[in-house]
Amino acid sequence: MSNLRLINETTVTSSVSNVNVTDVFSTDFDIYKIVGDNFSTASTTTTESYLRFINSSGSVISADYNFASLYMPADTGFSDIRTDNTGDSTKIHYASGNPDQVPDVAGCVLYIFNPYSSSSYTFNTGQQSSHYSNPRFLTSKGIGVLKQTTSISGFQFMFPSSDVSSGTIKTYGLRVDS
Amino acid sequence: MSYLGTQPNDVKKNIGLYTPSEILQLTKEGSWGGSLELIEEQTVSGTPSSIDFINLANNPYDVYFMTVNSFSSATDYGALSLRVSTDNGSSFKTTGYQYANQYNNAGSNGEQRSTSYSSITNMTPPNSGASPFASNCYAYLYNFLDSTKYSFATFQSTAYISAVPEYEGYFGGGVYPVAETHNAIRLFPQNSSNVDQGTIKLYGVKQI
Repeated sequence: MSNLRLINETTVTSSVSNVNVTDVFSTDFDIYKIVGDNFSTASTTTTESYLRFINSSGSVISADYNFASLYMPADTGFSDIRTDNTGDSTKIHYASGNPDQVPDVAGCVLYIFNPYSSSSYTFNTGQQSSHYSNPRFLTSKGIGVLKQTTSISGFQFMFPSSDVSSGTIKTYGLRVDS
Repeated sequence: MSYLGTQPNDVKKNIGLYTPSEILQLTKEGSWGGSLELIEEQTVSGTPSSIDFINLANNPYDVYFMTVNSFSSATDYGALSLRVSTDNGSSFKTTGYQYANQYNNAGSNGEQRSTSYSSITNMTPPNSGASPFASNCYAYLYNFLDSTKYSFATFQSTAYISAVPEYEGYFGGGVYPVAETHNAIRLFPQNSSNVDQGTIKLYGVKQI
């Protein structure tokens, strides 16, 4: 038996700009793994994807994020995307990669640390892979934190430039043996 | 579900015992076992030119997870590379791949990329030779069996490079941007030398 415990599987079945996965973080686990796959847009307009957390009251948190990531496109120079050069602390600038219309899809793996704790910040790491309309292959890798000690029970994938019409998010807890 | 012995919280822990009938029931429901399902393990024997995983369609998953342990090529600078097949390993695509990765070694760091390459390459640093010089990595493979989507990979690796010698780590990804079913993969050293050693495990990421 592996140490991953599947908690939730959420599948996008209609065009949406946000995907909320709620009530997945709890006292049962300290570390969570999120696998996103098959994200694609409803139109030919590509979109970035962002990450936010949802507190135990069900509210999406829109402040106090810090992040840093390296964008690695196959066709041009790499770039750092981080809080201080975007001036944005309202979200983390990576989630599923940059989806576009099928077959230009995006996938990701994220780890979330201590989300439910009310005494520590919520940290994450992520790695994404996508292909979109330039045509451009893009992979990215990043780190982020929500600098609040609020108890977090879920998360949101945001797609600000174009709705997504497909995608699956699987959320796992990492087994605790003590 | 009853247990033999102490009642555990098996959501969090691996303790307690199931009866054979309960195991059968959970297996039928798809709830038995963890969320990574080992499909195949290959350990290099001799000095093959490549390592192939075929018949992916026999174990269909949207996402595969792969670990590579103690990989090295027979001659210097054989970075681990991946190709895809549409005919179950009879042939492999040799053009049209894109990749991008960051390298970080003890002396420097930088970027490597291509929009037109013969494989998804640089999955590991270009290590060679026998132990203790070896490369290790993990990779996620997305949509390989989906004929309507491109096949993607992300990876991260760590190694001690024999040719320098020096520590080096890579992270990045790649794509074969053709929407078709890819039912086999080939792993091989980018410098076309043979494989000297390595153990590769391919898992499916379990779906409900």
